[in-house]
Amino acid sequence: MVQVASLLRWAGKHAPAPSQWLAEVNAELCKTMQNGRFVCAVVGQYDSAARSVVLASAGFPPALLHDGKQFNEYLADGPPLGILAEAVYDERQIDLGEQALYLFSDGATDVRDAQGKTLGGDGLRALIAGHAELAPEPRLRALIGDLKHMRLVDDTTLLLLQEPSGKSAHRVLDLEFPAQPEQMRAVRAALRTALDAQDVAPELRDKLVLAVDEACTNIMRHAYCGCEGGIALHLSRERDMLVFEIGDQAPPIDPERVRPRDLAECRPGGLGVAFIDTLMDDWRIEPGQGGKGNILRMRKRLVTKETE
Amino acid sequence: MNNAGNECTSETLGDYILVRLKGEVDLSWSQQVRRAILDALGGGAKVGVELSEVSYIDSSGIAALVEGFQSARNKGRQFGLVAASSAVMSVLQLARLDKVFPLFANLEAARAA
Repeated sequence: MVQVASLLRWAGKHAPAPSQWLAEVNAELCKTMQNGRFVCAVVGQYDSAARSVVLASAGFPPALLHDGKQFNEYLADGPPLGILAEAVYDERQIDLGEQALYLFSDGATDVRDAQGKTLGGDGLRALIAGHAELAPEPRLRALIGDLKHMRLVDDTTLLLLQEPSGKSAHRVLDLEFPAQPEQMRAVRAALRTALDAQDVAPELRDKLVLAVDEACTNIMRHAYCGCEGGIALHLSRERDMLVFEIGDQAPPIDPERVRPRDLAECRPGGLGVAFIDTLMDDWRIEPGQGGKGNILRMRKRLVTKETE
Repeated sequence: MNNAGNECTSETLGDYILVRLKGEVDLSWSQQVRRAILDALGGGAKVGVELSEVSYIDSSGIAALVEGFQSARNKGRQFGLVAASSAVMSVLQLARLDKVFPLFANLEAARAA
């Protein structure tokens, strides 16, 4: 399995079309797989700006698209990997919009109840429908909780792709300032005030301020390289999730090159990204609108709740 | 030097040089801090950086301290942090450097070491 995961990552590195991606991995696996073994897999790409997913599935259980009321099912596009070297895979585009896309291994439908009866596709749909009112993350936690209450008989993987509804998100802070280190004192002060107004505990507040400061000074040093430019900082909140967006107009950077370093090393440089990586729940860098500049999105959940 | 409440002063106390920092140590002046620490290490004295009135420090400020620590070690010189504020301590802990720097509660302890 480790070998297949590495192979999928390697073949997907240059973002091939999902159908091509599966075909390449399949051809490679057919050279080495023996004893009737095979692999079910689904690969895809998501364009968050267009909210569009392109998927290709090799014998994977059907993807489920749920609009809150009805399900659409997307069956596999070809056979499992490692069986037929010349297998051809289709791919499909799904306009996600505000819908929820569920991908799950067969472990999710093979769970058994107390009587040994399997949950099945219909049972899983019923569970999903039962939690449809929850926001994506608590819904996923609730689903996993349901599955854990039954008897798991296989590895179970569940993936949910859905944009935040935005209905309950609100802006907490909008700042635009020149990309100069001298600006950061005032930016930190404004951010502290905004986080205080959100009842963020002082200890966490100071850590979030540090993460934002590090992000901004990294933009000044590594994106603008000390040249003139502007930085836009937006902070919004949706329920207990804080979302920090930091945009610049600098030449696009390669997100792959922005990696946290190991904090166990004692050396002067490269601490900023490691701080961000440690302090935030997740973060990612994307091209700005129209391919201009860069946007760093960092998220932090304020409290951990099992369900809402 | 003084910039909006930020201060970096060096004081010689016999065989000990104390670099005293105040305010918010960030990228706008961390190079000055770095220079002051490395200058203090240029002589033969023990060096301490006093941090009780530092209300904020970013990674560039931490980098200046790390560079001082490494420079002192290469020269076989004693270097420590004195009376680090809670703001400094929390960033040192985050960077896992709280066990790396010699930390002293006050100047007397640092000079006696």
